Amino acid sequence: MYPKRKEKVVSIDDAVALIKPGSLVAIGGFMIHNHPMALIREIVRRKIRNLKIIPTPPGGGIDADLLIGSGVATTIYSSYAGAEWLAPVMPNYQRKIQSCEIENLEFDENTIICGYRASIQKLPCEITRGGLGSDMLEVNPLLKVFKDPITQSPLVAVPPIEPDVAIIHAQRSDPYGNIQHAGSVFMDALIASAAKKVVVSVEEVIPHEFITRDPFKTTMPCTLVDAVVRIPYGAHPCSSHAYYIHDEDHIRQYIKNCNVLEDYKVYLDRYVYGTKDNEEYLESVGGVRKIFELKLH
Amino acid sequence: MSFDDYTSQELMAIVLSRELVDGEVGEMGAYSEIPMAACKLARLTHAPNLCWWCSASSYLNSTGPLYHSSTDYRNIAGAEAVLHMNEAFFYAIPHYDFFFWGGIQMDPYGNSNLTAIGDYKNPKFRGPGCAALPTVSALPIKLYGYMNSHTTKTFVEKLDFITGVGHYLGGDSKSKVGIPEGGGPVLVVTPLAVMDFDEETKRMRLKSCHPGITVRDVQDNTGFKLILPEEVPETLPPIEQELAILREQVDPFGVLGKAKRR
Repeated sequence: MYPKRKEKVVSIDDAVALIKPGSLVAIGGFMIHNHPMALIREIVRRKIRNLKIIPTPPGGGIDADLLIGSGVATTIYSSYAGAEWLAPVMPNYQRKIQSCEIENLEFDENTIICGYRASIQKLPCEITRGGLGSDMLEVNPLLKVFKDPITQSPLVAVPPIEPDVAIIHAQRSDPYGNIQHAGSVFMDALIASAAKKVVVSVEEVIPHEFITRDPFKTTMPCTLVDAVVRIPYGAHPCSSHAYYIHDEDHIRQYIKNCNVLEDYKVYLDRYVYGTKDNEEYLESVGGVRKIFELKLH
Repeated sequence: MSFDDYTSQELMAIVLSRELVDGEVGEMGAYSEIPMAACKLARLTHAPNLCWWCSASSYLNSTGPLYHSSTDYRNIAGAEAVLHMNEAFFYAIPHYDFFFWGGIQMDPYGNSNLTAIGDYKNPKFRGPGCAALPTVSALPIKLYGYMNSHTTKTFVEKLDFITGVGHYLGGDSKSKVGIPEGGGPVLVVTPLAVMDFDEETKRMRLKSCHPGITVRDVQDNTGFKLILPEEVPETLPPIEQELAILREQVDPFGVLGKAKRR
């Protein structure tokens, strides 16, 4: 009897177990879209401490803010954290940097991409011109200016950034971890390539034949993916591209509750610690009526 | 529809739109309602060959109505192409002529701060972060600046943190740090006025005041001395056709319509 191909669909428990205290965790999505929010809420419920997080370059949002606000993340590699017109700067990110409660390593979009590219290529650094003249180079000790040996001009060297785990939300996977994004891929494939372990939450697990029928639609091949978790509406309150839009009311409520520490504790108790899984969470934010309202098609 | 009653954001989008050159290629970052409206309007008026990428999701020339979030799936529907965002560094960015530029502070040389106000290590106000400004500013391309707030706190003589390099310290100082020549801020549009830059010193110069705003108003709300030409014209107000296309085709949901012009 020959062995069977191994399936990668696991429970959320097994997926989140890949994230240890102190891990360097990269997050997919962008701003208020496609963030793996159900995975993030589970990390917060389990109080996996001292995480170092890298929001997607350039734009993390409520994903990073929840990890920072709840206290599980203590270091951020930041290039941006905002929610566009709903919050130009994410509140907990802003507050904890202002009060020096978290360590902040200043990058921009491209220097994080360079770090990922160095990691993927197993190079000691990736080079760029971006950052010359910017104070980003003054405050981030990881970024070094050097003279290019060919033209003698100054350039910036970025060391590898190799996350222990990347957590990503996409729309579909087959049982083996072949992923389809139904909308934008954002930086997800790059982030996954750079990380040691990759966890993807998906809206749907589809038959393998759906993948092989149209391999052009595969956005992240199974070779990049270690674990898949089926979590419908797992990006809420963010959007899941081509499936549902962001929950503007809930994001506004989140941001409002960040203004007062007591309110934020109530928020966490009600929506995160007080719900045991994503189903209970979805009930708490408005249930079927709400998710039908957000559904795109 | 009343054409006298337009918002600041509508005026800024229309002013930026007029500056865009037919046939050029450019980009805006995320959270870019005004630049996106400007590009859409330009393509429907004088610049049908303008091509614009939105860095958020890296999509080209989206044609549908404007939504708040640049990355909203509904904003991307109707685009001509979508890249993986990191691919933009290879397939899109090398062909840019311009980028839209902003920040929480701007100085007389058009340098921009999007990172922190006060001491960096113990900031009074933490901004969203560096975004892509340090990288974009090292490209030899035009930067169209826009700032939603024009006060002595947002336009300052010296930045607390240089996130993106505009004309750096003026003159040829930018090429001395290793940035190729030929790029930099060409224009800054605010709710009060339009500014450009002196060709030699690279300091900011008042170009036109919006209707109802005086030179004195602009200078009083600017934290450094603007170069003031003898004659400062009034910004041409929106013409009926521009406003009609903006409201009917570009922004039917009124994304730019919230803040009434003071």
